[in-house]
Amino acid sequence: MASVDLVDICKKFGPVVSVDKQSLSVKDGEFMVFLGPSGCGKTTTMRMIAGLVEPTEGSVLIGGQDVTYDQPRERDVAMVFQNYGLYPHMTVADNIAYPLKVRGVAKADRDRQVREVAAKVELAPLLDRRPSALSGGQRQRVALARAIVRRPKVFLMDEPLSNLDAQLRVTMRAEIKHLQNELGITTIYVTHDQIEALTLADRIVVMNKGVIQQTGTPEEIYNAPANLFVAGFIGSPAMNLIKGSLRGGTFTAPGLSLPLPGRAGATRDDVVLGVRPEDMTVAGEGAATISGPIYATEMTGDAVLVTIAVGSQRLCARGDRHFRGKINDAVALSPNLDYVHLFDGATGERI
Amino acid sequence: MNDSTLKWGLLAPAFLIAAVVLIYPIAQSFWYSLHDWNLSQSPELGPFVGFENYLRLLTADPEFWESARVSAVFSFFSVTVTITLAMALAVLLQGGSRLEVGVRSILVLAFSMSPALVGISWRFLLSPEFGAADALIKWAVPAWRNVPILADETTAMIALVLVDAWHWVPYFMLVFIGAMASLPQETIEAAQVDGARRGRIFFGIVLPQLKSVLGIAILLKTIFSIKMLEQVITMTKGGPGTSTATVPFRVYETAFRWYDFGYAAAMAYFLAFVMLILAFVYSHFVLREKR
Repeated sequence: MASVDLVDICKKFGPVVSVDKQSLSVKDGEFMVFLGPSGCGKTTTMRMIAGLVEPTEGSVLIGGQDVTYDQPRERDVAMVFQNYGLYPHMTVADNIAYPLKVRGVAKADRDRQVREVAAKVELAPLLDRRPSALSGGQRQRVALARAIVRRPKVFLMDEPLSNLDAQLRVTMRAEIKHLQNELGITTIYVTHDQIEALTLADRIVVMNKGVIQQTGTPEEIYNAPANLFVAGFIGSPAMNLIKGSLRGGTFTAPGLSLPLPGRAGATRDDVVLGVRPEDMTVAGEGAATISGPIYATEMTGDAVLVTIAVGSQRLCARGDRHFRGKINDAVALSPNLDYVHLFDGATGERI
Repeated sequence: MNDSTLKWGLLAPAFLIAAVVLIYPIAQSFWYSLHDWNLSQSPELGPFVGFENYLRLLTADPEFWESARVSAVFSFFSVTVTITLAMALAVLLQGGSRLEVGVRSILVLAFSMSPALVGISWRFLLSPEFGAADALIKWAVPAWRNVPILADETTAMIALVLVDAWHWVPYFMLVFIGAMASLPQETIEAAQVDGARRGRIFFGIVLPQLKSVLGIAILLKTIFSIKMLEQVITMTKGGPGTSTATVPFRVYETAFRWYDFGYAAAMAYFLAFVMLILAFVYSHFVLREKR
């Protein structure tokens, strides 16, 4: 077990900057998730921690020790790959035992540890099979077992659930969380799936274009996004973002005027107001401050998503699942002003 | 026209061409092998003798078995050397750097040369009078100063094996590079993270995954080695003595030097039979891979 620190880490592939001078600390035993869209540098960052990619600049510390130029085998980390990276010519038992075998653990010891780990991830009956005779979920378990069998300092997981079907993903998510909690090993987990990130993480690092946008607990990331990128990336359906200006504490945009508590007298041009669909309720016309005709309603089962047209913009609210409205009916949306966010229109930073 | 007629109709030209250019000569040479026919005595096909030529081959021709031994020695060493060097170079040159790609391209030039030309070039290069390679070898290994490379039984065979390897290594190197490129990179990275060193990764992770490609390469090269003729003709003419006279060379000599067509055809058929067996093994490998 160990902490992981990245200091001014930078990776360039030719002229392309993949990770741009970022620093980050992962605490001992923490479950840290790197979240971001494809190509944001999250996997490259993880591969630099694993030692599979050498940083262009900066340093990687594991347990306080500088390992920037150490080989992967010298770092005592274990990794679960997106396509599992199982050895196709070995049985499940040999796959799990491989890290022990390489380290010269005696056969009897190896067998015992493999059996223990296999029991933990429910693989015991499959130990003699080859990976090709396993389902996706079973392969995932083998990869996990191989990672935990030698109790490394750090677990690295690179989108480990992305090849599984939706239902299995939910089950495996819970298993990973349970295992990590039981073993208490520092874990870094890369994903582009925000639900995975929010459910698994102690803390989340949101990345975009090689730059860390925000680091924080799932609550912080969700309830207080640091900038427009995080605000727009996290949440489904996405947060409503409305361009406008602040006039004497009131946010104004075409067809919209919203007095904001705590902003009394503030005046500022070019701001963006953000409000999540689930932080707005649907009311009859005239009851609230944002109103317009219904553009579309979408029944999702547990709710009805109501989109209205306001000026040239569209706003979405998560309405009661019994809400029934027709297109072009006039309705009003009433935002919960405690969860309304303001961003600088030019820099995108939270105000 | 129904489907079945159309199908056969479309295939017919291909069958016809195959029949004319493949089946007819094959059948004809088999027919010759059943006759005692010496072209120097008569342009007409000689008397039918049944399997007498084959009997002679199997029971009464020690020279043929000597050439079979030479072929076996040549094939064993040329396959071993070629495949080992090709794999080693594939590992060295599998990357995509400019240097690696450049060296790869230069090496492939050797394969693009015709085998006869390869033989002639090396015969010149190894000439004791003016050969550059000969001079280099003698400078590097003073003990061989008085050995005429292509006129000594051992060194002539070594030269034949190495020149054959020189010609074929680039081809199999490309085959292996292709095979390695198609291996899942994650298995290698997983082994790195799991703690294995480079040698262990190659022998424990990479090579086992290349098993079927390697098997096919060995079988293919064995077939190529068994039927290799051009370099023997152009470099050693089977000599000194009969020390490099392989089976194909004996077939060639028997047919085109002694004009004993019937017997040469029988020898060629025997060789073809051996290669047919190998081809069966080969296709078995390929089919098993697909299953």
